[in-house]
Amino acid sequence: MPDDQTNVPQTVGDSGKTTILLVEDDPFLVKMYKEKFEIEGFNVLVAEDGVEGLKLATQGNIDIIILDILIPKLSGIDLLTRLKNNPKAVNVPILVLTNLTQKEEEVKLLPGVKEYLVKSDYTPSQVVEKIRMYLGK
Amino acid sequence: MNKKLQKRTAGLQMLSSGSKIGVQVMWLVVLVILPGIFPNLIKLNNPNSLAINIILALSTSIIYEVTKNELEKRGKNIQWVLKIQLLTSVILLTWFLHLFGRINGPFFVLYLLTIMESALNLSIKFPNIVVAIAASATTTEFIWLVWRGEIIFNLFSGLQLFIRLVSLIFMRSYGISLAQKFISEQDTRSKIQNYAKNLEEVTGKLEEVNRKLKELDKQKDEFISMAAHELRSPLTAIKGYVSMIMEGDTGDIPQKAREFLADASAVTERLIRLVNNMLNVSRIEEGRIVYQMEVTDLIRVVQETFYSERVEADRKGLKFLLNVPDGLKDDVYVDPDRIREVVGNIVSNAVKFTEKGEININISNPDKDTARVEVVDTGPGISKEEQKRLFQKFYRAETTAGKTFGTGLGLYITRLLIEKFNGKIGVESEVNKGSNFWFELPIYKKV
Repeated sequence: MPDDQTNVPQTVGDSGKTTILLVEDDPFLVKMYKEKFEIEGFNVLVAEDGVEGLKLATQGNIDIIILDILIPKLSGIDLLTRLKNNPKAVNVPILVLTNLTQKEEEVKLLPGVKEYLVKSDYTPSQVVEKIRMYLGK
Repeated sequence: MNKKLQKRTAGLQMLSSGSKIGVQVMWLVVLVILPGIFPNLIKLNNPNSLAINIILALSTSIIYEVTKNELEKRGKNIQWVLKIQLLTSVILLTWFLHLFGRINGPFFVLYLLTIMESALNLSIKFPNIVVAIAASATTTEFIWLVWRGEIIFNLFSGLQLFIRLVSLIFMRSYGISLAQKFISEQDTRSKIQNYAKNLEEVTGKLEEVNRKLKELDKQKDEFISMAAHELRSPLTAIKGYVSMIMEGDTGDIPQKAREFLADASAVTERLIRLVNNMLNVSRIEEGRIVYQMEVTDLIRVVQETFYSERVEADRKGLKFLLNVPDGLKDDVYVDPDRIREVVGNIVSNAVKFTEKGEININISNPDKDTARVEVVDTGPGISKEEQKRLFQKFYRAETTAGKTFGTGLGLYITRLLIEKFNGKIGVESEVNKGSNFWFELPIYKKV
């Protein structure tokens, strides 16, 4: 996907912080990323399965989605296809952050996906760098 | 087939197989002309009729041959079973013929004798002509007529008898050859059927094995990718937390702790590389990687690698040089991501293993169709023995750096990729002097 940044991320919430939706089911990784993102000054919403992820993604106050592929109830790929037609989520940049490497070609082509990151190749601060890059901050 | 039979049927076979016209004429005479002249000959209800004689001659000959063949096949121990079978068939046949008319007694008895003679392995062999003559009830009739002196006065009866005798001999021989043919055809057919059946069984088994192998292969693929995925998750957490602590997310840490964490981080990285490489190897080896082939500027790829590795080379105080002749342009047809991996692997190896001195990266064209990249270092060097095994799977160089960083898969993957792009890879090295890792790729030509 091209890295062009056409959409200006909206900042919502009481504190005016940027909100990250983290869709991730591994509790250790949820804790790690949440801590890191909060240290970096982001507001973090966590969904531990695809259905919850879809619900939170479409409620309209999300600035960027960090999405795992292998998640319960609704896979990351299914979630991406459903988000495609949702007006509230259509402009939200998505970073796929997963340890599944063989779906890269397929997932990269889905709308909204800015980049496909293999979790084990990035430290949390490197993920934060990517987030900043796509938020234009 | 026994010799006696062959002798008996030789003449007839000349007629039947040697000359097809001969057989046709014979059938015409036997079945059309003769019955036309002598209608009495074909009447089934006349025990002396030609038709009855033909049927008897043919059927007994066939039974005789089939039985003999069976006996030969099964060996002598169970002969008695077959003898009973044979007698039963002849009795049934007799009964069947009896339904059409009165059976010709002497004829039947003598035929029975011929069959039994063979089936029971009697030493007395009746010559064909004797059997035929004796077999025919007409013989009795003939003798009777001669006895009464009537034959002299009845030319018609004489001729009729003569024809019957000849046809009988003829038909019996023909019956035998027919039976032989039938049996050998049956044999061939059953052999072919057996082979076909065996072949089918073998094919079926192979298909089954093939299916199972494919299934296993699929399971293995799934296992490797799931294992890789499952291994990566905890590794991500270890790597992530260690990096966060080192970056100060938990506050200041003592110098010693930082040192330990750096080691923990290095081995975690190695483990991650190992998992990635194992997955890559299995994907490359099985041809499951989709290569995004495109015309790629090799010099640019090498330059990019050069700049990214320069940081580490500078840190180690190495002289780090990239030598590209002016005006050189090397376009190669490869997957750019994969060739970046190749160049990165060779250059980072050189930086890793070289503690002092210099690293030269040279690009050249040994001939107009070939692009060559060399990475020459002043590292520890590799013995001739090690050079041979260096590009093999899970081989690690016997050096500190090899033991610390290596997964034993890097150069193996590099070789697989270079070979995939129709290139060559190699090393020239001398212990304590340094190494020259090189690869060559065909230059892309516009068609």
